[in-house]
Amino acid sequence: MNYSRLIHDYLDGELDNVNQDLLFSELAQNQDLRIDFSQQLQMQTVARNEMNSMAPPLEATNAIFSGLGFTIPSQDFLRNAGYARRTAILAAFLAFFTKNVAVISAVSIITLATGAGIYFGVYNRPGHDFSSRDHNLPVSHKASLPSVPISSSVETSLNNKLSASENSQNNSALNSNLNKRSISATEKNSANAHNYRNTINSTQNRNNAENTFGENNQTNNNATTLNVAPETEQSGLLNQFASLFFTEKPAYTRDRRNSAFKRMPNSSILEINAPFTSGFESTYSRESLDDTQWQIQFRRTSNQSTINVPVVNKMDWRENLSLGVFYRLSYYRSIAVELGYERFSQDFTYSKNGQKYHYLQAPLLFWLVGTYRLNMMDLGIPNTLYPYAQISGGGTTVGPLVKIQSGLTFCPVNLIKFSVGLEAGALGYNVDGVYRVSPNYGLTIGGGISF
Amino acid sequence: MVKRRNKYTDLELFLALKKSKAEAEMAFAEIYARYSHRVFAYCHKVSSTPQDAQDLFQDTFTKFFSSAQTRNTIGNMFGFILKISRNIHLNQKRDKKIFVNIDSLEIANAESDPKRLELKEVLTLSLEMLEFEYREVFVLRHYQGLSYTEIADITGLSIPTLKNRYWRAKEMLRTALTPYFDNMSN
Repeated sequence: MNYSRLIHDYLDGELDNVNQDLLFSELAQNQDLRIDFSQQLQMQTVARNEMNSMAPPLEATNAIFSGLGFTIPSQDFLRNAGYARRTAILAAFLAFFTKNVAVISAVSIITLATGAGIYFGVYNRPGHDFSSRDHNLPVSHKASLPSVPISSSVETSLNNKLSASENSQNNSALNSNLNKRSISATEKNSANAHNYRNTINSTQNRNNAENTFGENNQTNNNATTLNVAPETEQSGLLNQFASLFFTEKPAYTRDRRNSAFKRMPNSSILEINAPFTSGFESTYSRESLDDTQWQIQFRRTSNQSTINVPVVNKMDWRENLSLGVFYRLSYYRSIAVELGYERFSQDFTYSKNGQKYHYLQAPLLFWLVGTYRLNMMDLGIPNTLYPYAQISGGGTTVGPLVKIQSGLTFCPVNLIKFSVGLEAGALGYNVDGVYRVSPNYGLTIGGGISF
Repeated sequence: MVKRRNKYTDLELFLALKKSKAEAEMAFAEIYARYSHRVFAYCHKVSSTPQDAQDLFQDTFTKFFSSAQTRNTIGNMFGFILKISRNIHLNQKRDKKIFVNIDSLEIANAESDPKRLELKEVLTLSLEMLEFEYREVFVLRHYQGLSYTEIADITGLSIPTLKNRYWRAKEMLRTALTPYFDNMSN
């Protein structure tokens, strides 16, 4: 048995328990081995002590930094090197995550979108099965009731729940009921209600002209036209933009020295003077490098859709909002989870008992997505004004949702960010076994606090 | 005045080397502060003379900065720098064709007066007599305290080979240090 090797392995941390017992029992009775142990231990101790006292000569440091065209750091700086304080496990996890961020993000987004799609969209769940509902009297105008996730285009106040068969057998009763509708009951609408098949869409009505009351069909127009609410007109992009900057919401900044939050003297971004200036000053100093890892972002999107759905109620500021929590993976990349509340336009037909119903609605839906954002710092003023692009995938209560967004991020101070961008999204939903898409696009404006 | 950026991870600093000059300067200074001592120790231990060590040290960091411009990620920063240093040293060694005979180890040690030397100096002198393949492993394990996995990553050798070389290097050094230890015990 080579006990000297066992001592070496022991000091090297490579000796197993069995051999340790063997070594120590031998050490207890072998004087020469104890001397051997002492010598090896001295070698080890000397080496470690020497490492602590070793430093590169000043001329070497100067030569390196001068050669690269950098400022020579002070000796005090070099003596107090710092490390990111992370545990080994966390560091290993983060290293793996950072190294594979693109794959992980892509897999996460795809999983989210696919999962939501399978759960909500692909299977025609009983809750979305129109045949099981009592909504046999579709109407064309908006159905913005959040409690009705996808299908109902029927105002609950209408109480026009006559079955199709009843309708066909009792046209006069139906007409009477329809004529009692109080909302948007124009003459054209009333005329349209005489259609005993309750087919609202003008195209369909024209197709069914021979089977319906011809005189009514002559005045039948698209329901969209019937119910356009002037107040739903969206203001222009300029107004949207301006309204953001003149918002009444207070803005906050944080003192870098004591980390205390303080309210900005003026909530208008355009009128912020001191923080704005300090932000630009910081751009050109190393202080501007953002240390923060997390960001909470609040934004609003002015949605448009290729599907034109009249909205009775005026779209107020509470619609199309979202809240996101961003985690910065690196200088360029962030991931986020975002929760939002948005109106989606839907246009679909649904068959029941051989009859076709046309639904034109814009329900407000909650959505939850995972987001991957790329901050293109090098294309703007780093840390202050730079473009970004992001892709999101997730779902709503009715189907999967995918969004893409691109715009500009403005960071007047280190802890506050604003973003303006264009967003396009597509909601997938399944009606009567047919998969449909509800597209949205618009200007999105938001702000966030980093920490 | 270079500002402290100790909240950044090695990877973040490494990526910052490719950014603007100000950010690259900051990142490089932080990396230098973190690892220059250990890198210099490595250079000092594997080089024959202090001047060679200093040259190797400077070349290492200069080469490291230029390498960072073409890479997008890094695993172990210290290991990466040491690998650069090792390659430079091997190239220099090959060009200069420096060979040291292990047989001269005891003779060289015997010529020095162990009474006037501390163990640290004797160990350093003895280490210089070792062949590079043994010296390198001894330095990385004994002085730098790197794991065998890290050393294997740097040198490209298998872990059993590294363990054997470390043991053999230590045995050779102990043989060279015998006069010192004998003198101390007397």
